[in-house]
Amino acid sequence: MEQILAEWDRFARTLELDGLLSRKEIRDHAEQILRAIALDIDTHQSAEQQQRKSQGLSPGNAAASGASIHGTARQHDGFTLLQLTAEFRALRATVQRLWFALGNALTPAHSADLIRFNEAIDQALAESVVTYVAQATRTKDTFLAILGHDLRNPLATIALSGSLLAQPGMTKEATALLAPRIKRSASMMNSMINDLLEYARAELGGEMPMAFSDSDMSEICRSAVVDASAVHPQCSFIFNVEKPVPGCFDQIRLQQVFTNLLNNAAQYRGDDLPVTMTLSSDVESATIAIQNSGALIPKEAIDAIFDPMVQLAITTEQTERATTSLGLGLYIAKKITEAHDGSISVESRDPVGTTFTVVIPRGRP
Amino acid sequence: MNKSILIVDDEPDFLDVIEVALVLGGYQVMRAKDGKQAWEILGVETPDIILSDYSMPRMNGCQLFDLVRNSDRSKNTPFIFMSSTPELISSVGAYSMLRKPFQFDTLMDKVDSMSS
Repeated sequence: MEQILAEWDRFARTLELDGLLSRKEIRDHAEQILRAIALDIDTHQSAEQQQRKSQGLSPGNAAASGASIHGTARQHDGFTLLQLTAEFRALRATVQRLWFALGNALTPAHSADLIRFNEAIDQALAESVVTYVAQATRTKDTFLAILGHDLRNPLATIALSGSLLAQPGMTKEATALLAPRIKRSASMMNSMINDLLEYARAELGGEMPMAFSDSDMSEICRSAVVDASAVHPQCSFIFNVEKPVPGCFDQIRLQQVFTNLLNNAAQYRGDDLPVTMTLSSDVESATIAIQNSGALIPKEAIDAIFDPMVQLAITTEQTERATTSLGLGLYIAKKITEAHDGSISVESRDPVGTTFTVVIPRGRP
Repeated sequence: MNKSILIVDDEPDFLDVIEVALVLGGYQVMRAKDGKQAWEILGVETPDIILSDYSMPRMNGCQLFDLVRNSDRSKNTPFIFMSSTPELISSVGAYSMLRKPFQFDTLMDKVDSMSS
């Protein structure tokens, strides 16, 4: 078993799984699958049962049910379908290569075992794919439901305001109250649609268009604070900066990143607490930290916070209710940061609260 | 005496606009930003109608609805959900629904029919 797992480990390094799972988690999964398959091979099987299995009609067994759980888990972990099938392909190849490398002669009994092994792998793969696809479909349904919710909420403000403006009893004061709310709601919808288009473009493999120019990071941050203050007028934003930070940046894109982060921080902060943005720099890079105090982000949510589909799958299952945010802003923030050769990270702990930190090199990428 | 209505929504702008609408329609308005605050208000006030969003932090509309229906004080108060995703509402019991977005006339038809 250990030899197979060592081979498997070498293979896993080629799957670009960094950041999705730890090495130990990958090995644990492979071991579970192998043990379930070994159990399946040791279980007596009649010719009829074998026939049914080859036609995909076999009832669930230990390997299959383990693989079902595995398929769902892989969707949670952010695997693609290709990566999921590659795991099983590699397991099959590893076991067979190691077995033949031992110099074993192929007896009829060994042939039967090999056939059983391949059947078990095929069935486990099929079960995994079924549950993987089911989970992916559930996540996409949730995505669409939340998208509808997120867009209809500001639309509700605009629609009700619009119909109120036509009412005869409306006073000047009431009319004046509606105007900024219509403007803010339209701006929120515009921002969501932009995020959605960026997400769709990235998912379709398109390049994010960037426009780098000489600019001052402190001005970019200041503009983001102005934008976020307009959306959250009740929130106090504190901006700490000591000096200008000139560099070569995409001003509009970075402003989008910081506005998203500030809006999130304002939305999820504790009652009446401020949001703090701090800009620091050295010769090489600018560091922007956005911090709020309030409910902490759970550890399992932090691991997938920049991947909306994974995040949705986790939060929906754990809370048994729909989340009210797609988290597209964080996904796009990561893409824009990466296009600057920079990084984005998050830390959420008592008593500091939650801090998103963006590091952007000052030179042109 | 104007009828009173408790409005519950975590979107402050929407809360402001719906308050303008209901005041224009002749209602006395109480407001809460989530289910938890609404439940605190219901401990001391007895509105004629509750008009609540579904998706809210701290305590959502369904959790509030369950508390209201199990309370001697407010179990008979008409409860209207406002939601952009009514298909997500899983609570059972007697409630009415306003699907967001809605217009002034739709809102008034609904609350007037529930308060009469």
